[in-house]
Amino acid sequence: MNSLAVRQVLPKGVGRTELVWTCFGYASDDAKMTELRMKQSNLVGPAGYISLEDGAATGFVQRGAAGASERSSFVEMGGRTVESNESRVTETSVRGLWQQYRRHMDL
Amino acid sequence: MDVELQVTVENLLARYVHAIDDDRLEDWPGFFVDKGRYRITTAENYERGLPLSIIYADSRAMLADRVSALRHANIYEAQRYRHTVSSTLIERIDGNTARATSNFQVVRIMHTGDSMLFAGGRYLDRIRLDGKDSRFEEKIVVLDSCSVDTLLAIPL
Repeated sequence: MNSLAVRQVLPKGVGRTELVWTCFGYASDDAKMTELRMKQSNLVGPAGYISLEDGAATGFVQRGAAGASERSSFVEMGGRTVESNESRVTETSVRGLWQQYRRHMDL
Repeated sequence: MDVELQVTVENLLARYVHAIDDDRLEDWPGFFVDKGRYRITTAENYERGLPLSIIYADSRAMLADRVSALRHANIYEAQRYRHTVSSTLIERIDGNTARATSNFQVVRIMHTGDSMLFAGGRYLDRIRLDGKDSRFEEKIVVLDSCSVDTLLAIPL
């Protein structure tokens, strides 16, 4: 089952970020489909089976970065370009996000 | 006021939060009837009638799955909760069922020793009454805040 979900990343300061999760249903969904979507949503959010650890992991990175402000590291997964791919199992789309982020933040 | 009913419900709530706070999570699904529903949502979503939940389960088996994931799959920093439940108002629906509304607060104690007020809100419960074997038919945890710090692993 495919579902549309939006995750907003809201920087709130140097040490604080908020994530806003929005999951969508469709006007054509019947009650059974809505129930399925509610069950599927157990995968995401602060208690999500998949995403539960994301908050902790980014917290670890933040702590690590704060203690090593003079250092930097770079893991190049699959190149530097932003392009269409056959699969979603790729870092390409997140590279696109960070390219736009740098542009908007004048970095 | 029905004192026996009040004591029965408050005792169920007390046993429920002690099981979680004592890390007896394997006992947690047993506080629900077989087809019991458990939901954590925010006051904002609840008041707008939006169905999305932070946790959603419609059976005891789904709760057991979550405990299994917490024990064996999910990785998160060691932490404990301390629940306080108060101001329980009870309304009898019929001979076997009651509705209860309670306030709750949860202090989260991290492995580092840091304690924080992690969650607060209301328990909206529908309870099947059976003395010491009373169980939740439905438990809706309505968080007053729209945000959760870092992650919510242990149930509320």
